[in-house]
Amino acid sequence: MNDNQRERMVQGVLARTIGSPCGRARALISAQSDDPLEKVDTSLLSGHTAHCPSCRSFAAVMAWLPRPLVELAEVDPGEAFTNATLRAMLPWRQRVARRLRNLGEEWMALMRRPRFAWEAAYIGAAIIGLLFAAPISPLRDVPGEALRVAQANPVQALVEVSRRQLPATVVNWGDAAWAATGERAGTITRNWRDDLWDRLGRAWNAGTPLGPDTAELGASLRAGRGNRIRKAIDQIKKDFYGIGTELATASGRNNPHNQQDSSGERHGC
Amino acid sequence: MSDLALILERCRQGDELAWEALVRQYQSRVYATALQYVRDADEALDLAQDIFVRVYTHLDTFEGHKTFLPWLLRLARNAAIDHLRRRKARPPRRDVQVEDNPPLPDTRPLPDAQWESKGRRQLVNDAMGQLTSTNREMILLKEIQGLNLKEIAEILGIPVGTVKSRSNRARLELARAILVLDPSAGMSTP
Repeated sequence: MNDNQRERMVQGVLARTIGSPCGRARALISAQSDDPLEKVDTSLLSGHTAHCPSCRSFAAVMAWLPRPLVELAEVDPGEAFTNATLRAMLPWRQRVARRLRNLGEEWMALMRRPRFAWEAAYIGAAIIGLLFAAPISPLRDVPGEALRVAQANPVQALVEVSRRQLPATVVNWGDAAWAATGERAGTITRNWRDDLWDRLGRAWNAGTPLGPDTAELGASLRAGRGNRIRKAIDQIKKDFYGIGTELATASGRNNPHNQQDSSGERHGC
Repeated sequence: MSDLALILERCRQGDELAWEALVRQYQSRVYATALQYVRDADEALDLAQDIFVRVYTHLDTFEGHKTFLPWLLRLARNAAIDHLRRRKARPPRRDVQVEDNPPLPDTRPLPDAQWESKGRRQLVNDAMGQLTSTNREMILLKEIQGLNLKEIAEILGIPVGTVKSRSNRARLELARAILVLDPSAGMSTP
């Protein structure tokens, strides 16, 4: 049997069994570019390529490829490219710098426009409308809640709402601070407060305004306490005076004697 | 600190000479990459400029411990993808002569050795034009730009094993395309 006959027989057997092994051979040829093959694979591959011209060409191309591929890594774009790129960058940088520089001036120019106030008011109204009136807005209940709070006992309700919205830690700190302040203010504040409540109650029940004579209370405290307490007390006094006046006026309008508590106890704010 | 690290640091500080040096050092590589993506010499020039603009604007995001080339090629790839997307959405108004495998621009004189080299490069470049874009990108990143499997996996966002199998497939397709274009390739030249 000569070489040709042997080769024909091998091809015939392969054709009737597994077909062509060239696919497997080429996979190995390609794989050996990444990792070295096992000894047996190298041997099998050389056995195949010795009899397969097509795979031999393939192996030759694979061995030849790295060099031209590496040569493709860099292609000279020409001398003009550098200058063109640097020129292209310059306007970009200038544009950004100029934009940043002019931002403040543009804003001021906008502010100087006569219609700006109208436009701002219009946009503001639209934003408020979107925030509080749009059906999908999470804040749509806020105005109703605010109205409910205002119609209820205002101070207490506001305090309660605030407490509910504050973290527990902050509320505890607030309580502790309030307690400490109460301790430091001592009996003076408490006495003054009780007395003021009595006066308010009496004024409410009598339907007469709370007179400015409450100033004497503050005067009696000034000697013994510091400025901060005194100022706070004066402020509270003013507030209570205002509230008392309002209450007295309101009760006068609405016949306070009809609203008076039968037990004669004071009406708090 | 390496020269490149120094140049990059100076670029970040706004040193224009350092920026020019960086452009000169990497322009051939960036242009070659752009050329493989868009396959048109003029378009590749525009794309290469876009890539450098991106590099300039993203210099602060470059982390020094990583190598510069993979970072640069990632930016180049993103710019190329954006460019191709724009081109697809808005074809150029001027008439473009369809030329699948444009000749590689080269302004250098061509003695014999370089002539051979140019012939080799042109043949491989033509074969690259026959590949699918996925395979071409794989050859570009791995074989041409020389990134390792892990770096390619990071750029493409795929597992290393997938990179390896795709790279293998791409090499096979490229060799096949070269043999179709020139059956004697690899035999006649050293």
